[in-house]
Amino acid sequence: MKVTFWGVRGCIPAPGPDTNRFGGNTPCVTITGDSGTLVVLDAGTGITVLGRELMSGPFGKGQGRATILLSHSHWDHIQGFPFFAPVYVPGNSLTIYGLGAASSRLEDILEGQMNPHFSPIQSLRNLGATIEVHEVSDGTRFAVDDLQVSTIELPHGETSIIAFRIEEHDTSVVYAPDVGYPNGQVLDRAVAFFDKADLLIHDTTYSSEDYEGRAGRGFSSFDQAATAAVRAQVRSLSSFHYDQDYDDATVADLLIRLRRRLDELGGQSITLVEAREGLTVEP
Amino acid sequence: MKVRFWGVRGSYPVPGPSTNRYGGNTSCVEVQPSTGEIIIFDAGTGIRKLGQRLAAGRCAQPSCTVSILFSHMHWDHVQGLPFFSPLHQPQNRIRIYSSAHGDAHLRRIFEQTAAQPYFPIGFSDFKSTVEFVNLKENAEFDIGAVHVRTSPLNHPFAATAYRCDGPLGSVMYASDTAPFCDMLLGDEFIPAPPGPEDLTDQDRQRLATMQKSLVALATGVDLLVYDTHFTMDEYRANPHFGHSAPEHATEIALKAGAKGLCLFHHAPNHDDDDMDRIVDQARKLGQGRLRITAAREGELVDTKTGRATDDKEER
Repeated sequence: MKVTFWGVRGCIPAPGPDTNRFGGNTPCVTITGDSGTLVVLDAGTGITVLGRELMSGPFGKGQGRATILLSHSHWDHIQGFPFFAPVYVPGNSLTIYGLGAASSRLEDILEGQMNPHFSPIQSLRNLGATIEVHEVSDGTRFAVDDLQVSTIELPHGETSIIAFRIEEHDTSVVYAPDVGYPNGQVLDRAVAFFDKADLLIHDTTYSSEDYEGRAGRGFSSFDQAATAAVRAQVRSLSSFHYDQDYDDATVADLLIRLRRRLDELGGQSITLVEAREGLTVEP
Repeated sequence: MKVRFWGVRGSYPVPGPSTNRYGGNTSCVEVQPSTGEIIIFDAGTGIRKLGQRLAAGRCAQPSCTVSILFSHMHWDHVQGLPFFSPLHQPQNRIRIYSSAHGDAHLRRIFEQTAAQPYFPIGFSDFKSTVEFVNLKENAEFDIGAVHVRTSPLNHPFAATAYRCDGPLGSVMYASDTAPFCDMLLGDEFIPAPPGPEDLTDQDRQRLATMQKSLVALATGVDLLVYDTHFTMDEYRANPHFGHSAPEHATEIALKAGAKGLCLFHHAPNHDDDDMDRIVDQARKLGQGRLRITAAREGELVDTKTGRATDDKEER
């Protein structure tokens, strides 16, 4: 299993020379199974870079197949979808799993992004690829070829997100962006879901200092991610979803502090993966 | 009069080293008239950093009015708005100008851009006063000492060009638009490039009127900022996308006797080296009568000279 980061930035894309090292695209991560199965986690602007690369393979000929897992429908997690080149090639097949909302179904939410006021495409129906949408909730289990997927619903400010655990043979990856723990206390049931994952990709939007004034926004601090990783005894922890105002030097410094924090909490054996655009790891 | 480019990219933001020189943020241009009004064209992702500067500077005053003139509401022109810091300061009055079926309709459309399940907070959470001003076709109004006039553009679901005239110069913002020759873009989705036979006499007439109005508006303007998303080859492949090539922009600028043309709304697939080539080729189209430049994120440009100014004090 291979994991590649295409977008690691939170909230809004942050282009510019001071984000070259870690990247300015909003969330998108791929998991490629041992037999080539492609699972895409979230559709932030990072998915546009993935899309360009995929077009040189079967997706360019209308023979591509991928599964997209959406943690939630805030803009930064879906805004790249209309610019994901494979959606315009008839014959490609995309299966989307994600969280609906109390007020609307996931398919309607995705359709809303294509509203003609905001998008010249006007509707999902005008995309060439075949698109299938499935809603998931807490505790949903399904398979994507050889990959086993399970879900947990976790709080994100006044709403929630779906975190995914993807397993193939003996390898497991957990994707948990935009998690905001009530009172900053990592939830026991989240720890149980992350348990002994080979790779935990966990929200690290804020430094501990910035978290103080922004606790209600539904994100985690680097320290909280360290706590979650140590309690769940994961093999490696990846930082993710950096605040849009953090330049490369700030993120680099926060990662040094994150390593130190892991060590202080007894997590010396946990490998720290410093998420940046273009990075591929084998968990 | 000066303008600063905060976002010059079309379609979607393109972070990364290959866009560092021209910039990866989506559309946002700040007009700086000599008379002090705060006027902004569009609110792509570029508006975030402009907002931070205003919030710490001129919008930190006891009262401050910001006028944002929207070409249209496609994502790359509105997606930065909720991240515009002055919206979160109670002393500010943000006036949003655009075109819909009335002020209330305009408000309803904009409210959809910041609301669950797409965004954690909504317009009712913004601390500033937000006002909506719906503009009719060929509108004319004043923002302080700046006179503003508009003209319709050829784009899916319509778009609006703005010209601002101040005591010390003028700038016109024409983004996004297709040329006025091959097809008339309207409210319906067009899946494939049409043939010439699809253009009715009525369409031709409407296009001619639209072009005439745009040329009239651009007459003698100091700086014409124009959608040149495509190269000519790219345009020919996708004439129904609603964007122009430098050739189309130059034709309008020359007809209107504009003094300077600034290429804008760079396609996401054009990296910095592509842009260098595109500008070099475009310069030859000016026939020595037109100064042609390309918009670069962060640059402050004097509308009279078209040159980037050293603005250390103003920053």
